[in-house]
Amino acid sequence: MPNPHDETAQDSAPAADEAPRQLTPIGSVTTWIHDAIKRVPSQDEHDAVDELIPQGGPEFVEYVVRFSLLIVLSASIAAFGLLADSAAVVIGAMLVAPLMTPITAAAAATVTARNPRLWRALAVVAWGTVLAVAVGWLVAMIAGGSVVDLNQLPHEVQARTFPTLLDLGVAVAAGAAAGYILPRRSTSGALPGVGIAVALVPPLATVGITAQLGLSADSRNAFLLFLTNLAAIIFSAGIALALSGFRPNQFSGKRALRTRMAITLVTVAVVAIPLSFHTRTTLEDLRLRRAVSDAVSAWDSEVRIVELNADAHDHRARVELLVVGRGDPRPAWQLAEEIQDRFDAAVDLRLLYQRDELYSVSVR
Amino acid sequence: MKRWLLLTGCMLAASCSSAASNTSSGRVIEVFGPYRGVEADDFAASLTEFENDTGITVRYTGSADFVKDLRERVEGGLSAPDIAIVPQPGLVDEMLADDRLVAFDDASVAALTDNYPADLTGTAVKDAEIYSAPSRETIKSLVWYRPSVFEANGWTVPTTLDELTALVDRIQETGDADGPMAPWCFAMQSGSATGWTATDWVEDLVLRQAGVDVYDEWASGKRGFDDPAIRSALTTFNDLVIAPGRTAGGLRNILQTDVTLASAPLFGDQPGCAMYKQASFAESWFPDETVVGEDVDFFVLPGVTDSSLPPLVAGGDSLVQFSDDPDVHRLMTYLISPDGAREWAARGGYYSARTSVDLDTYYTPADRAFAELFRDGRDYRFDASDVMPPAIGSDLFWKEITSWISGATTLDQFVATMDAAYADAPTG
Repeated sequence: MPNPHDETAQDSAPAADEAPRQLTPIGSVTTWIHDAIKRVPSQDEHDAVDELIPQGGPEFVEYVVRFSLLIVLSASIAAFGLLADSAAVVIGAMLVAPLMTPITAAAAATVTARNPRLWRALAVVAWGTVLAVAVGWLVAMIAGGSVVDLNQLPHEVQARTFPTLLDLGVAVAAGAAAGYILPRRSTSGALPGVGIAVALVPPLATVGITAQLGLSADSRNAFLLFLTNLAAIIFSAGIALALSGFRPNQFSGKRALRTRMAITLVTVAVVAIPLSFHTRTTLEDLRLRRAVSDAVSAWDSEVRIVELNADAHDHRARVELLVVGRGDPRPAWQLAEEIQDRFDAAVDLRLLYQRDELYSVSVR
Repeated sequence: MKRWLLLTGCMLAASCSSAASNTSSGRVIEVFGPYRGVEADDFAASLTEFENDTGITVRYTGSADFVKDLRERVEGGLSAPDIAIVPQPGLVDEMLADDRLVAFDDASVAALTDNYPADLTGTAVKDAEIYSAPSRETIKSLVWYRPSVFEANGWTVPTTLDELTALVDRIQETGDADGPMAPWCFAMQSGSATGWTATDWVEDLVLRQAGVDVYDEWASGKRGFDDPAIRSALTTFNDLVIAPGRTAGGLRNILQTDVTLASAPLFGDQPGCAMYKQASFAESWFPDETVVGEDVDFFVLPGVTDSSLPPLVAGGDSLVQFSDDPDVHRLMTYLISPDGAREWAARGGYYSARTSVDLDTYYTPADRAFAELFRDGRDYRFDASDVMPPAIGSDLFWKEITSWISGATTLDQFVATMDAAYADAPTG
């Protein structure tokens, strides 16, 4: 029977009957899977992960200069693309963005319990964050005021100011993909896809743009989206790397791994709280839109919805509706009551009804 | 009202089954009225006590097209509400004459006599039975302004119409100390009721320039629109308010802006207008946290001279009933009682002629100030367009004054159309 306090024995031959007593649930699952597959990374896979960030000296300085240049360029592309409301340009910025490398390096350093690498990677991420936000702020200062209507932000900006649990799901999946791809050089062609799926620089550029425009709530939400992506990538990439065999060699390192993974998990859970509120709001708005759509059909099956702005808040639905119909409008109070019957909340309706009459004339 | 409230109450108090058992019919009582937005919230809040005490669910629906909608519901075969809140006595008279209304039960009549003065002016009575009860009262003749803006510019509250005209001219010429400013905020857009803000203005001017007797004759149809006194009021209104440069945003803004948003320029950091003539209920349209008496104040539109207190044009809502149902009678009794408006009175923007309530505890300070205007001995008259037959006062007058202001018709065409319609309409 191995002594449970004997680190050597623990490290070399963990007793199956003791594992559940000492590991967190996540740790138990990863240990079980790891034991099941008994995978050991190859030297090339180790090298691929080690080469993510140079470990000091002139190479590291050179890396940081290159990284900074790419951050400035990608954040500039992203900021102009966001203000121009161009999805294609914003995607281009994602492909130039270099943030994924230090973040996955941080994940690798977390699972292998190498503190100096972890702090170096996190410092690079923090520097990139500051730089990208500053670029967004500068671009907005130079161009934003004249091209942005504060009441109608570009769709690309708006899309990054209301993160939901769906964004968390994307980041978790994309982080796992990054963790799987990074050690395997043959699959690195898929990495840009990960960068596009979980955009890092555009949310930071949005933070800078919205802060410069004085939209502090939007700025906070965009930063929440970035934090969501950051925490979820470190967590899920860490899990993927651990499953690929990247683990600490020493028992103390293994304990540290559990602590670190628990910290990243808690971080993910913390960012999930506001995201769940956002998700609930989104679902409420969706339910209201369906209620309005059904109510309009029940009110007058002949009319067509042209524009619908609906927002549910505090058991109150505010609905602005533009419909087109061929005949005389039916009473608006009936539509408001139809909406209330379906949505079960106070309703404030503003209805604009347009006649749809087509005249076709030929003169010869 | 909002069934979620009942559902939430059920979940919290687990008393649904007992509450619901008090409802004899189990159906929802439908109340229809003109209150929307904040006023709808205020009215609905006043119903909560009734719903909690009885388990009866009440749904309130308010429409900007209230007169048209109510007529369709009552006369046009659409579902009639159980109770309506009607600001037009002319419409109440018309529905009473057409036998559309249900007489109050003994409890409601008792509530009426217990809470209101013996002289129930304006209550619809037919064959010794009572068919309507007064509710919220409003004063239309108020001019809202920001004391800080007046003080900063050295302006004083005018005491005669001539002084008001001189102030309006001065503001239009020089603006505010910090930049241009129009004398008035004014807007008319109100769905099918568009025009009522303009008719209110004209009524106030008729009452001031021609006196109460001419006003009464005009309101009752004995004096036409082509009368020199009415023409004079219309011309004064055009010169004082509608002429170019008089209003923030000009004619386009007047015709397109919703009446509830008209006062917005008054409250800007750089105000777009200096004064805003609107009824006491405009308080609910002001920005949140606005304190009447501090941030904004009012004066009564001055008379031709300052030898007597300027008269008031007043409005008032009547409660009428369309269903002879025990639950509906119960709700009507509650609405007539002080409980039926207690929550709204506490929120502000409500006062009534109830004599049974303590003015100091029932109303907010601003509403007490309005109530006192009724009690200082000055003349007041009900809104003439609401007294006229609805087809004239609550439809044609609103439409025709809008056409005239927009420039689509001339003053001659306007008054001729009104008088021709009056000649064809049954007078009340």
